Amino acid sequence: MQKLIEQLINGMTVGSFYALIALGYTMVYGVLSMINFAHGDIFMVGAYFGCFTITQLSASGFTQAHPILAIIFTFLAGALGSALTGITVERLAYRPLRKASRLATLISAIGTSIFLQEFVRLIPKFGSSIASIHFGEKNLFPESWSTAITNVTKTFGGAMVKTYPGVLGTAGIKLGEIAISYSRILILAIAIVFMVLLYLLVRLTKIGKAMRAVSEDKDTASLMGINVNRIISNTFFIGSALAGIAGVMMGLFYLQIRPTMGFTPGIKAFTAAVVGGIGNIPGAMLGGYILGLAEVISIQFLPAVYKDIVAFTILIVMLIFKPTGILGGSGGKNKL
Amino acid sequence: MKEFASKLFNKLDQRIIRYVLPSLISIVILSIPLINSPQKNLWVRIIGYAGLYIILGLGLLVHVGLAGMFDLGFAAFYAIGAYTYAFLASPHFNIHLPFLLVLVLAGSFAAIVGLLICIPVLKLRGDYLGIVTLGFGEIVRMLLMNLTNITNGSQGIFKLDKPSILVMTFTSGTFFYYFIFILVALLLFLLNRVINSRTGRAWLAMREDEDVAQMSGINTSKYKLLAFALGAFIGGMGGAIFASWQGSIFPDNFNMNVSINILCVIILGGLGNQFGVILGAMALIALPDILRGFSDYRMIIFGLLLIIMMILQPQGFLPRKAPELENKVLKQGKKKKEVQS
Amino acid sequence: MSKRFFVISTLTIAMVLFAACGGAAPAEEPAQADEAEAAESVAADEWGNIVVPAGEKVVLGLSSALSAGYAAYGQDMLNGATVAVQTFGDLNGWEVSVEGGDDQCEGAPGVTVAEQFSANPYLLGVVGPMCSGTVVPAMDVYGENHVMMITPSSTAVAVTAAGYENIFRIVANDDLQAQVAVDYLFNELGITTLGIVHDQSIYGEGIAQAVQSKFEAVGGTVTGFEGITRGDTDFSAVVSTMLAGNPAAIYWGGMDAEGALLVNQLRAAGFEGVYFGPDGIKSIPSFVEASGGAAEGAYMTFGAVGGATGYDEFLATFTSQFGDPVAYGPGSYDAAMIMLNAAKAVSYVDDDGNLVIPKKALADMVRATPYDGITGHLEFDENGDLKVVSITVFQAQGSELVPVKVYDFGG
Repeated sequence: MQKLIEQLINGMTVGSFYALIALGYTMVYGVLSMINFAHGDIFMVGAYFGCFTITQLSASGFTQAHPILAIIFTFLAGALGSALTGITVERLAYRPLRKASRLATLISAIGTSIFLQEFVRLIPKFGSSIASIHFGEKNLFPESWSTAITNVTKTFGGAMVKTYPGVLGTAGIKLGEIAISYSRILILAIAIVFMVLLYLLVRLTKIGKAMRAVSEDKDTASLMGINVNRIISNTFFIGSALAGIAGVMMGLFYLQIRPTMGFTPGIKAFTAAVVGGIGNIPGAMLGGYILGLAEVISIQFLPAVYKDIVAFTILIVMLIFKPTGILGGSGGKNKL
Repeated sequence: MKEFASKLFNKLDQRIIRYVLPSLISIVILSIPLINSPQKNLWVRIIGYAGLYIILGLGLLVHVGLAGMFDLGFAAFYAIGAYTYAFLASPHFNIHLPFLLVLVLAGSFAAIVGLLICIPVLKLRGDYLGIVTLGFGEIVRMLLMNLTNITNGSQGIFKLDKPSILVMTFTSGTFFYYFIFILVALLLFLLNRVINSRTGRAWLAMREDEDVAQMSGINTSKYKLLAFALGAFIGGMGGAIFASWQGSIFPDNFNMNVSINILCVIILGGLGNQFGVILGAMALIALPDILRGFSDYRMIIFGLLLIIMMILQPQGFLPRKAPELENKVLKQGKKKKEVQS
Repeated sequence: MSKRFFVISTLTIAMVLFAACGGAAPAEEPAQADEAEAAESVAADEWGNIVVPAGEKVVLGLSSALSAGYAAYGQDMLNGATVAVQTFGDLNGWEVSVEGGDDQCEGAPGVTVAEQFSANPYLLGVVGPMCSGTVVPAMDVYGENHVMMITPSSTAVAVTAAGYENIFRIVANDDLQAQVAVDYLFNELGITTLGIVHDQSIYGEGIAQAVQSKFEAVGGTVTGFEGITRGDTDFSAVVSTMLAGNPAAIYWGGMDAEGALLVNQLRAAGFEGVYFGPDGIKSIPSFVEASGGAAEGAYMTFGAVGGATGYDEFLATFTSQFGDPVAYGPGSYDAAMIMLNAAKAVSYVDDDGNLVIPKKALADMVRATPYDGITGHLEFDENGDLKVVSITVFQAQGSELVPVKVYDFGG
């Protein structure tokens, strides 16, 4: 029994990640009717921004002095990094294709995904190349700048796995026999807080209304005077920021990040969004937790490796019998 | 006079595009293994591998381009075909059936699985169908990875039989090269016939607007199943050829990247056009291998290229000439009318 | 497209095919163009010669992952070979250059790289491929083209089992690694219950299976055998299954990234037993750092050990250019040196001023010549494996990996 509860807690933790990332997927699908395949990589970018921040803060002793502030800064860095990446991607890779076929957007998203992964991996190389630009004998940058550029880029990215300094620790509370670490509680709290914030944003604010209008009918919304492009950018900003927060969380919790880390969580989160009803914000959260719990429960009966198969089977069954998802979404009426 | 000249010129132009160009390309492709150079094996392999992707692309084209069914998990059929070959022509279960027979069986088995997958998803459309197929693709791969008693899991299956037709056994890459391209030619021919047939027209109607097609009396379910089975069959055959060429297969050979690559091939080439698939395959498969010199920057350039390509030419190299097809359809309709009247 | 066109092209294709079949079908020539047998040269080599004209460079190929996930390991190997070439100098007056081929630690690209290298008429041989999953498909290409291949890192048994005479390995194979692990666990540490986790790769699952069968053979109990998906980060499922069996130790078959995550999550879940892994986790700083300290006390086996003759000089040259070696840099260095030394011994300059390296003679020379490298004494048996091989068990203590026991085989 105790094991089961521990497992359920694990499921909630994993589900929180899926839920946060799924929110971004669902928002973008809502306004653009596109599956942003690069969303998982935006998640990854956030993790890297966060890693860089916390590493620098720890190196200068700031983290030890003000741990909570340091963590907040880290989250901010991750969220901002992801958000900026998200709107850039939207502007450069998706907006020109608004009128094109869905497959074209899909391919562009795939290309973006590859690009982001490789870019992060190659940053140190780019850095040292830039640092050593020279005209004849003279370097473009003065010595100190060169070293700075090289070091910064080397710390930021690269092919190898990067580690977050272990700031969260393993301390926790105990409910009877069951140990729950603070970090798990934090993850759950963050996920719920942001979902609530997002929901309120969409329901109560003017921007939220505009977003809903654009997802209903882009053209009519623009006729109504809504700046569709700006709303779409905002959507990407927010959705990507959430993914970035999830990325930082993942780094803090699992300690490891790598350029390819976005792939699997991306697909799982997408599954979650669909299960909950794509285009539906509470649905994304629900889907995330359902998926997390389902995975964890399935291993009680099946070998651990079948975990992913279970996830996909849920996806497929969901789509066949209730494509609008549990809470109802756009329903997949969109054709090619 | 001018009109006559321009009409003649147009016709000549058309003839060039229709006959001369493909013949030239065919000759180039056919003669590559004949050149005498140390690089020969390499080129045979690269272009041959691209040829394999043409076959796979044609299979996916049936799904996506002809029948309008978004398929993101095509690698599943590729995998099923390859593993069928591994089961039926290797020391694994000690069954050694003849090459051509296994090819057909591999295709058939993949087609059966295709039908089974298609039945529950008949009413899904667009992106959702894509997701489901993606899920199926991954499930197939994961099953192959985990049912170790049957498939040997990650360790893969080795020493697959080399193809033997009649009494000859072939081990060279050159054989595969020619075999693949003969198959490509056959498939192009067959698909052409199918496109111009009743089935093809039904697919066209479904692709343009499924609801209208259904209302016009087309049994969309039947045609969807047909398309899925045919595409899967082609994919399965491709898998069997791959297995016998590489000599060993592993579940990782059939991951989602492969499905995405095949999709990119047909998108780059322009949906609905079989010749586009050839160009797409050459660009996507042959090019990165040629770009290998850049090694570390290969993938990032590739990613950028995909984005740029889509922005500049979203319809692909050879965009679907829907009007041409429709014109053909109309012409045939007119002919029928003339015959009748 | 009209019917006529297709009939015509099919006929054309058929005609060409028959023509080609008649000529080319039976023998697939090795891809070296210049079978330049100078009339006065010594008895023609069974496998043909590598002929490098004056002014051209001899190429030393290196096949490893130069992009994506394992690029750091692959680059490390490339650096090792580069240092070797720098240290060796020229080959009888011909300059040697290192050329990296990116096999991405995968099968299909590995085969393409193999074809590319095989097609290079100035290629001396290939160091690598890095990953077992690459070697197995690629070795047919190397074997058929008689390209010298020495891998410093692929440990799967299949590598030398195919019987190719031009394929060598200077690292212990997984069978031996598993044997060492089992012996240490069972005999040194007194462990009788073992849980095994692997990463579903050719390498990881292979060695995991070997450990399983050997452990059961000595009388131990394997309480669980599970796989994880590479790239995943959350292993709570496997962790809970493993701990349910209450093993005294857990063996990990796979690489450092997942290995570190696993040990971290095991410890967080309260596992206090021994954690043991193969050479895939022996990497500073990756493994120890990535585990956030949870790797403290973990054991691992590694086939090649530094500290032998010439290691310090190598290290100095290496670190000044590339920083610390990651894992297989030294092995790559030795592999390259073996090849270069053998080439120096069997090559000669023919009357046209070309450098000639007979391929079979090269392979025979490699097999017959013991070499004291920076990774130890390297001598081959008839399969291409090392005759005498030593495997060291390391333990993670603090941020260091300390050798605790050395096993010697053969000799």
